[in-house]
Amino acid sequence: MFSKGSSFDTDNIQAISWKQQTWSKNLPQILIYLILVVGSVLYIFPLIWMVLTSLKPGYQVFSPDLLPNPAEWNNYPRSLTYTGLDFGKLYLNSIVITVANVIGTLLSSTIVGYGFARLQAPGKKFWFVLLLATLMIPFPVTMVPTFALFNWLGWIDTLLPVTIPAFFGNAFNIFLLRQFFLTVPIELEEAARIDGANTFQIVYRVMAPLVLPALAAVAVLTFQNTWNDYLTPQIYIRDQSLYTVAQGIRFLRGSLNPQWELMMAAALMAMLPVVILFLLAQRFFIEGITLTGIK
Amino acid sequence: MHKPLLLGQAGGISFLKLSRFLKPGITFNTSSRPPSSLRRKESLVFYLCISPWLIGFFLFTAGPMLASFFLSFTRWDYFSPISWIGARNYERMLDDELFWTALRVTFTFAAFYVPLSQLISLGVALLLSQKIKGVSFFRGIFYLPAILSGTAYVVLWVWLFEPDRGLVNNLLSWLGIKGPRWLSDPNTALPALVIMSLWGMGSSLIIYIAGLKNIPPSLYEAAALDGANSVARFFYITIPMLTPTIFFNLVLVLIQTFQSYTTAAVATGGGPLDSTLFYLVYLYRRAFQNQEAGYASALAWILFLIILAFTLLVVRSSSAWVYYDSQRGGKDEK
Amino acid sequence: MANKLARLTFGLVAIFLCGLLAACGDNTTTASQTTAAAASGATTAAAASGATTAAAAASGQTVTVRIGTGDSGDGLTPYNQTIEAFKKANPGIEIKVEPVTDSDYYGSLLTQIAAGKAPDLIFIGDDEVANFVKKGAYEDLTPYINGTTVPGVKLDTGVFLPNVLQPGQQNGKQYLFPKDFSPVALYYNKALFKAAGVAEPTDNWTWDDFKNAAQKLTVKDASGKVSQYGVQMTAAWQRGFEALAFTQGATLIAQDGSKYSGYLDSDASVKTLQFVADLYRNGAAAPPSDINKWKGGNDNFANGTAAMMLDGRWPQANLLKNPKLADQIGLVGLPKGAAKANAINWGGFGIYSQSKNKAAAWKVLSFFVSPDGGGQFFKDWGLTPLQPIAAKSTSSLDKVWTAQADYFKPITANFTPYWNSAGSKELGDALTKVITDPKADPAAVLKDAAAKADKALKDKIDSSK
Repeated sequence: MFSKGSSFDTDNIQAISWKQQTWSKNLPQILIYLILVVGSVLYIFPLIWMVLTSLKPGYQVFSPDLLPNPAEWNNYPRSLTYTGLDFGKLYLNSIVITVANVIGTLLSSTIVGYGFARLQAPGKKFWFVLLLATLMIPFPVTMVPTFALFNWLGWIDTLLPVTIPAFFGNAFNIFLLRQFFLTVPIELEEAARIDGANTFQIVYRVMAPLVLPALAAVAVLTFQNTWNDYLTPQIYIRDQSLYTVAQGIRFLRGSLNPQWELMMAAALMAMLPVVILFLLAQRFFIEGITLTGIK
Repeated sequence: MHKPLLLGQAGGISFLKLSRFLKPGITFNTSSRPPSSLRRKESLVFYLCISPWLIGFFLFTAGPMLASFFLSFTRWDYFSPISWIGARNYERMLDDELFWTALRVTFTFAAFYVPLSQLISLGVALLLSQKIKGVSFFRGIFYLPAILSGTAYVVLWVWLFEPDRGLVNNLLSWLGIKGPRWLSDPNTALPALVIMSLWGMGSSLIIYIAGLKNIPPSLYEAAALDGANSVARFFYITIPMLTPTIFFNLVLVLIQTFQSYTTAAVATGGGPLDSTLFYLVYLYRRAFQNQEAGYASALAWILFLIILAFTLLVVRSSSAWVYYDSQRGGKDEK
Repeated sequence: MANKLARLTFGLVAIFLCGLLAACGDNTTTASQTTAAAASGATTAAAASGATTAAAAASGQTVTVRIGTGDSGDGLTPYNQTIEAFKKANPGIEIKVEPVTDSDYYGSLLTQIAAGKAPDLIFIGDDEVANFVKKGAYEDLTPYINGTTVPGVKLDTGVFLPNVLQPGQQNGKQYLFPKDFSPVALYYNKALFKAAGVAEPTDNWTWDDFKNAAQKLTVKDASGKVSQYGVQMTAAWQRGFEALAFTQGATLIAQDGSKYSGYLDSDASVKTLQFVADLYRNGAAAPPSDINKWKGGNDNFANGTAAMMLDGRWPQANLLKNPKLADQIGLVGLPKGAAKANAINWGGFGIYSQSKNKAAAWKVLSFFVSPDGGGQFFKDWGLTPLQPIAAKSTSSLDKVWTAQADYFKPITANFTPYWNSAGSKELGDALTKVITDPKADPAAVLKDAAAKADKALKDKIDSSK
């Protein structure tokens, strides 16, 4: 679906690099593999340990046994309710917020990115520099007045402050999409215009499909950022029934008697959506990171 | 026309352009088309298209920034009338022990995390740029933790660092070492957070891998013909050619590090004995727990200025150590 | 209502955006028109239903009393049970519980109070009573008690256990009434005492007896690693320390709330801290699993690796659910130092000073804290402050808990509105210091803490003038 005419394709680049010279051809392969394998095991072991802990019966968590015996699958359903938080609801909140952010970012960043890529107007340079400059403004500087604004609007303890801003675009994504629109041949757009399409149709019907890989990268990164975000919901959402999953996990951390097997089960489930997305769309994550350089 | 955008470059461009913008005497330039009869209409459409961002810019960036600057000279609890107190918030910082603690903690964390994360991710990237099979598999593994960032990530590490039965101290005890009490000890809590954060350095790794792939193979071939050995090639080709990527990563990680919040907020809440009181954790406390909007705004501006100063420092210094070849400069336009 | 408003705003923003997108086209497209129309349809519906609700509320006759509480989840069950009972006897008064998350409970309340929108009944803990009263958040309930303010609705204060009304008082007036409370006491594991051949604690134990037993009950395995600790202490928990300090005859602040120096660093306080430090340093006390958490996050007593535990009543319900532990748990009051003493942990309700439903709120409050309605609030967490309900308890452990009420001394937070912003942190830091640094000198650490707390206190007092 994405491969035709895709302007970047990791596998392709992989193939190129396979043949290409690098800084060293003398490092023994065995040594490289050894380092990489040991490193990977060390790297992945925390997650394995997490899975093992999550399956242990409570009394086994502080025993030296590595493997759960017997595996306590019940930890997973139990972890969803044991602190009194209704995680079912939290998942729903997180899903709503994440989907709204992905849709909002895609809709707005696409049209703004197109504007900056293809249209001319007085002041355009100024706004474009400003757009890039906003990349440097740290969130904390705007945090307090933005809270005051949403507070004044009565939006505290609603999902609005964590969803609506996405509909106004995000500088990195706008910039990324602009770069991609620049690579689309102008002839395609002109052909569509001759056929009577307006700008709106051109952007969403003609241009967007041509930069689908970029849109996919924006989508997965927005998904990941929103799902994992803790600070923003923490500022605006104090009502536990509107908590996100990330806030719920923080709540577990605060619980008086840590039941690590349940906490690990809950944390693992909280990670799962992003992990699944990563397994399905790894290349878009990697391309997105490569292109925007943001986490 | 339809040429692939070089990986690692697009992201760099923004800072490249910015850095030029920030340097006096170099003007920023974009391509322009000849004027047409449709110009006025096109302008209108342009402004309509960018209006979501434009409105968002005024509502969520420019407006709040000005407001926060104004608030930094006031006392306000979000409800009572705002009272102007001049520079008292800034004076108060000089006397505020926790402010200095937060600065010290944040700088110490950055001083360890930034170089370590860059060294490790560059090292792994160099290994992964070798001619070996399974690169994407290894890359996936090293990158995976980075996408898990967030509270679940931190809670996992709190468990790993649990002093009596956590994985870290278990491993140490197999080696015959009695592990420290990590997050419960003011001396080891910050190092624990550095280790915790290093696990998620995947983004830098990916950008380095892309940067390495960008180095034209012809350079290596030519050097090999000239009889340069791999050490020479590494220091005379790889490193210089990689400096733009290093520069980009450095700026990015620095900005992110100064704004670290979740790690300390979830793992330690800033304790024990304020040994992990990240700047933003302290700022959050002032802004939303003590409802000191004025003082918090002043703190936020100081953070902004610090980040700005560091970024400018790196950007200004870049001419001395970042290598841009003319070809890259050319691609940069449009 | 807020939800309706939110939806309305969302609809408006949706229209606004659709409009923008549509306008961005040279010709208006049918597709975007449809979207905009759909969105505006949704908005009209939302606005209409909002109006209906408002109208219904205006015409209704019932009074709604809002209760702000830090409880949530299962903690709300007792509220709901009490409310059911109340509504049977009092038709016409609706009760709405508004749980606030624990992360920033007081902050949220103060925000609501500043905006004049706080709940009619506000629950807070003992640590903030003085502060909230100083801020004028609470109604003086003294004239309500004998039924003069709300005719016929009296409250019999004779039913309360000794000393449990005191934390709700300021300047001799009663502002809050207790929901539940807990002393600090000494849990012990009978099986572990028996195995070590140590006599079980009694009410007449001194701290020396306690220390000797803790040392005897500390067991090391062949490799020198401690496999069982004598005691699980309360780490950096300030109130836990305060309870111990009281037994040594110390008070932590001047009675007029003016300074910590001379109190927090008095000989008796230093003696208490030295005692705590020694237990941790000689290995008899389990080191905190997580000193950043309340009471150190240990579960050694629960999993049988500590023979004794100093704590409140809160973990008791869970301990009793543990089949290995349930019939092995013993409990006595704090050992004696200079005197028998204890420190209360307390939470209570008061009426918001700007409430528009004070009469109804008093009806609810007086029901909630009386033997008729207050019976639900103590089962799994704190203790009931009500003598008649406590007397009915068949739990031998609860009898020990209840008996500790006789020994309460007024806590530091009673004497200053600034405990949470000046004093609490400094004491917590002092505790953390001596626990994590084996070389820290308790006398020096407390002297430093008292000086810092005094500075913070002075700042607070000055800035409130």
